[in-house]
Amino acid sequence: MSTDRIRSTRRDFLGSFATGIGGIALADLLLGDGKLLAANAGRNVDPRANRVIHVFLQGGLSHLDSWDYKPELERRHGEPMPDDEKPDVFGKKVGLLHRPFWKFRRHGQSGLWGSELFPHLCGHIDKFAFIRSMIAPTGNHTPATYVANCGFSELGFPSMGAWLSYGLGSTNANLPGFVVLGDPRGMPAGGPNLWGSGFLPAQHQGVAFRSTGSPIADLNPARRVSQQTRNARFALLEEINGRYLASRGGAESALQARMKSYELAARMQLTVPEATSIEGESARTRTLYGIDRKECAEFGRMCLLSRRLVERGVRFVQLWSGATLAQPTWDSHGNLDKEHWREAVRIDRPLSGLLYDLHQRGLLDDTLVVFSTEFGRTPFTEVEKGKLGSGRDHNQTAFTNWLAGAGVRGGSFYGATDELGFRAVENPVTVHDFHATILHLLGLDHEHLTFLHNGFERRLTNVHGEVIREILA
Amino acid sequence: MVRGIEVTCNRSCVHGIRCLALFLATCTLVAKEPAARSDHWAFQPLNQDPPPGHHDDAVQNAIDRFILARLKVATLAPSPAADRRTLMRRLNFDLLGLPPTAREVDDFVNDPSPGAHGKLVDRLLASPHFGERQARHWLDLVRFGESSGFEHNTPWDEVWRYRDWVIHAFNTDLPYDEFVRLQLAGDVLRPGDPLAVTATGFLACGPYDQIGNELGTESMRKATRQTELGDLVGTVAQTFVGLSLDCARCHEHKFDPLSQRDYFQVAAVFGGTKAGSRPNAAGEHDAEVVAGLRRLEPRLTELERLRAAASERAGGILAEQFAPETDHPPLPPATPYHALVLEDEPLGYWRLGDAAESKVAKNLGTLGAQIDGTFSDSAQRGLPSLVGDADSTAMMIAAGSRVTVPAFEKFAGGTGFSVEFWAQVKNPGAGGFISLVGDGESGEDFCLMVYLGSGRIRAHLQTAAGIRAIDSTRLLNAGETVHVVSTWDARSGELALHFNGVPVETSTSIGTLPDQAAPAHTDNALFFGANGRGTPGGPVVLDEVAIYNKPLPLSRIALHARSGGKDGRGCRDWDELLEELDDTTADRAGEVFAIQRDLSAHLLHGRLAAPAATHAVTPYQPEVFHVLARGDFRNPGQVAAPGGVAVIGSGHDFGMRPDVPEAQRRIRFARWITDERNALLARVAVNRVWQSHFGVGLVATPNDFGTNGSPPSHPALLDWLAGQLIESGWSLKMIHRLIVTSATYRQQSLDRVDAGKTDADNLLLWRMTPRRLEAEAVRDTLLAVAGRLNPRLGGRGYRDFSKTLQGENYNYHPKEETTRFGRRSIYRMWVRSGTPSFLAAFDCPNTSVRTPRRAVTTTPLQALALLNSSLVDRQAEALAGLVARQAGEAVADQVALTYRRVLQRRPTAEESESAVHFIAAHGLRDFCIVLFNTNEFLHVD
Repeated sequence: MSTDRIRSTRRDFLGSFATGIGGIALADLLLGDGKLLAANAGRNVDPRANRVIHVFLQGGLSHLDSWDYKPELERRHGEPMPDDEKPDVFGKKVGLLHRPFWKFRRHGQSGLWGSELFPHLCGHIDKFAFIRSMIAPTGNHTPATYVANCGFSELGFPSMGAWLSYGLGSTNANLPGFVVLGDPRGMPAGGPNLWGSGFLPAQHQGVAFRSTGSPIADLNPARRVSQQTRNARFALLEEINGRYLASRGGAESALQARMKSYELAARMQLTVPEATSIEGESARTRTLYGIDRKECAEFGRMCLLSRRLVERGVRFVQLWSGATLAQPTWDSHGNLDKEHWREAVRIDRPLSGLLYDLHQRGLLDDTLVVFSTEFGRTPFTEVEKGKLGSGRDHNQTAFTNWLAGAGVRGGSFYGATDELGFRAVENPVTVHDFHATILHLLGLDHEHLTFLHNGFERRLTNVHGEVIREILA
Repeated sequence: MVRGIEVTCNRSCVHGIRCLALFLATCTLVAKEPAARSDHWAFQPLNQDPPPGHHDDAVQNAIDRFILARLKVATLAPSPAADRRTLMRRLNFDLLGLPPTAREVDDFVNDPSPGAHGKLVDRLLASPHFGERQARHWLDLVRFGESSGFEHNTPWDEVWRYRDWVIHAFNTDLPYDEFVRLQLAGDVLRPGDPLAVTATGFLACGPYDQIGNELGTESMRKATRQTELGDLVGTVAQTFVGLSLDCARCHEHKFDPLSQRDYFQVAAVFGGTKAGSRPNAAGEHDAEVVAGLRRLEPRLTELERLRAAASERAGGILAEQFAPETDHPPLPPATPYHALVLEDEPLGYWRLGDAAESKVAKNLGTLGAQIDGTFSDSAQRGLPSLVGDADSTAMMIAAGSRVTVPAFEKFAGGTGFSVEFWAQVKNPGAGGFISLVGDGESGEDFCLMVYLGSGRIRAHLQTAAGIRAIDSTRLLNAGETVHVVSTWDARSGELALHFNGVPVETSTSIGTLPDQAAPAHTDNALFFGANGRGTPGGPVVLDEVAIYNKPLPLSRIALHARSGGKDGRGCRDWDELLEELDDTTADRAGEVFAIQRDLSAHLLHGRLAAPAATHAVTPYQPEVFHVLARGDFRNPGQVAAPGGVAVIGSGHDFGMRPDVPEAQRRIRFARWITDERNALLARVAVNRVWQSHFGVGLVATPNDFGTNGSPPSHPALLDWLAGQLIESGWSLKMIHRLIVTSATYRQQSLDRVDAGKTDADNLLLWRMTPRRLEAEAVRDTLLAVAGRLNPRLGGRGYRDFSKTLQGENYNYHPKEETTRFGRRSIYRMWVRSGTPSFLAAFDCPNTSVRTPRRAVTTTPLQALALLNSSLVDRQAEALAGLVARQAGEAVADQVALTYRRVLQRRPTAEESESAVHFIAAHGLRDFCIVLFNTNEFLHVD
């Protein structure tokens, strides 16, 4: 069940019967009928990863307090920004410099720096490839979050997960190809467009699993219907559709595909509850993911669920950390020590548990873990000139993301910021470069994963993007 | 030659497939590798060659001659005409997006006249639902959304007026060139015309980033604005002329002769546009609208009669449920509110607008100065009037404040009484009197009070026979303005309450006077506000208090309410009204619905002509524009004065100064783009109409007529249709009519092995291409066949979400639709926050994406939605109930009726037998669900 090696470019919705959830089987059916272009997709690079778990931190994680150690910032605590810097920042206030809010030390064999903000994750530092020179096109949360997820600062462009679903399809027709696990505290600013399919067929949009009740809408009948009746409905439907197909000559592929889709739906009804039930997991596993701890149980369940989903062939699982901006997020304009700590405690242990578990199950060999945010934070505090505040402003000129797992050179880093960590000065990496690298690891050339929409050959990476080869294993 | 085709395929699959298919079909290479020059076909003037071939039996009109000529070259024969039931379904779904009723199918099938097809087409083109269907296609193009998107995602409460304007424009067949001009510059072309202002919603319905535009740094604001303009310029160019001009923002267009200069000239045209709310200047009334509203009166009377009849059949509850709409504009000042009231000869009528210095509330009723009132010192006067046409003011009453009218004793001799007033309650929970009428000795013979208690209005009647009190079951909202009339019919003894012109449901209250033990009223006095006992009241704003010694007839009450109502006020949600309608009456709703729909078609126009405010363009004078290198505001190059696109010509150089006033830019652009020499305007428009009937346009890339788009499959036909559009005075209905009356359109859709081998994708149209219903049509059809579609046109959208506000950010949470009568999906409030899962499953597009042609997918999620969603289950339940009542006991009859409603045909004997068998074991409701899931239901053949 794979179209992985089919090598042509997917451009138009003429091929849209063939893709996405359950798309493989439909594609086979339709291809067998010779109606469609050979579908499309394809990997044109040697794939290292088959699936992705993406953790997105909304609000702007401070790289200066987590992964990008700046001893100079320690030394110049309480001093003003150098005169030659004229920061053009969101809040328009440039207060005094503030030292990292947490202590840094070297970890692992690689000896890379990590702070006490993420004590458990630091234990995996040899798995991480840091990009310390990320830059974003804007310091405005929502457009920056759109860029980080969809490649464009406007609404209406397909998300990375949608592109992957479109480009690779699912490896399990009974589950969605792209699953979103939202922060139970609230919807991120930018809303469902962040995992939308834009102009790609709607089937590629992320399916946001609901945190209560059935994870997918309409998985079960709205009212109780006996299994006997369900079976009888299928049988009668099959009979009526069969007659109709026959009356139309017996060869209409669209009609056959729809009949087939009911079989897939029936299988999905069985598969989804099984995949999403974590009840059978051992106490040891639950502890590993921090599910037994109040402060991190929510994210722990999300992490454990994401492992179960990738195990079963879901292509892309996205986990959100940070609710809408008026609620708890990483957006610490003040009280950074408390706010960042509150957020880090929620995710540090669960994510660490996930990495350990993926590793011990051998899943990390072909699973890519992505840890990213929309922009970083400033070395100076966001208060009036000459004062020392307690938080940091948005910083689109520098931040840190990391990758781990399949095809990634663990314990490495790429790029660097200036001595205060304000600007990426060495090998700046755009979000397009970051996306190109992720697609590359999945075997997709970002310049060839395209869709013709209203006269544009659209790509996740717009017309930009360079694969960062230095962090590839 | 074959090599050439391969090259093309690499560049564009659509183009490639079509070339290949046409090549195979006709053995000639019809399209060369497109030239990236202005000699590209789309930039040429219209080809005015007459249709090929000649008229014969296979031909209904000229379209067929173009199609047959191409089929002949490919040695393909057209398919025979489809049967009438199939045609009827096809026409209904294409033109209206709704299924025909079984009776309509019968009428058509049994109409022997040769003109039956044409008659049907004309009827459908005249249906008000035509505009709804066409508007949905248009809203897809202009990425219509009803919230700002981005971080704040603020809901826009007035954008629906633009949606209504589009519906209205299609229904009235507004000439397409004018349709275009008004959307680009209606506010400045026809200032003072509310419809023209509303049309510019086109420029105001895209996403808007408040943070990027209004907060943040100067550089952020500039960058945000440039991005936003890119989206707008792209929307203008793609929608009207099929050019991806937004491609040329950062560099010269890669494939088309479009320069960065072209882009920035157009950007300069729209550089001063901004979305915002535009209040309508008071008193602007179109004479035509006035006349239209007047013409409605007889229909309202008819509705009134039906309502009364329905009420008799099913009890009082129906009276309100079949009430006339109230969310329409006021009758214009030709019949001012106070004149209407005086026509009914009130005994007393106090407008409460008396000058602040006078303490006298003058009585305008028949009893005149005898019963003038006196304002108490604490009555606050001079507040804005609560009625729409007011030349007077209102009064606020609070604890202890009132108007006292002494010695009032004239109810005797009448046939009952009515008390009428307008009120705005600040705090419904607080209670208090808003009116009191007393009569008789010591008030014990007769006393009437209409007052507020626990958020409800209570009418309290005390006569020698005893005390009766009724409470409105509806709670008033804080700040809500309501027109209240309490009537008592002395002959029947009926006591009733009316809000906003319609009788409201009431419950008999066991409540009594607030202080029954001490009815301390003053004899024969009448109070507004606190009564004689000084019971605390308010705060309440009161206006236009009138009393009559007769029960006012319903029609007059409705008229008063409509005349005095301000737009949007007293808007009762039709869904809400029908919520509790029982099933028996639901069956009879059809007749009333039909009138309701016709009325709302008129009211749609009325609402548009007299909006309180509309979300439209709010222009400002922009800075001088420059060509920006790489589209970046930090790299300004040459100055770019407002202008058109060079390759289109026809006066693209406006010769304007770069700082020319904003209004002139858009006026000039609107005239330039609709110049008849611009062949693209008509070509793009007719291609969209063609696509709406065949699934694929003559140009398969409807928003891209450039060199990277598809070449036309029938270039001469495209140009001929474009010529017809212009010649007809830009009548889109005429183009629809031409297409759907052609023999080409009437063909069967059955696959044919011979033809399939030559032209599998049916590019040459040797058959009709079968299609699946779009998302909205699936939902609307489910409602329609279940008898649960509320056909009301226009107005504020329904909301299938709840919203929460955190800081300044709005979040929208999907919620189950639970109303019994759903409105068409186009009336959803389309906030930019995900698409409802049912509609999304059927490829409903994102509200921020220009979608000239929708994807059609087949997924298991569709199967789950149709099998399991509560929407489908509720329609199945409704349909099963309706069928059981109408078809009687015999299961075979039930099966037949279900088939007729859902599939518009009778079941075969075999089908009937299976169904009867199924129903015996599993019931009618699950059988309905099965039929809703069939391919035949979802597909239009």
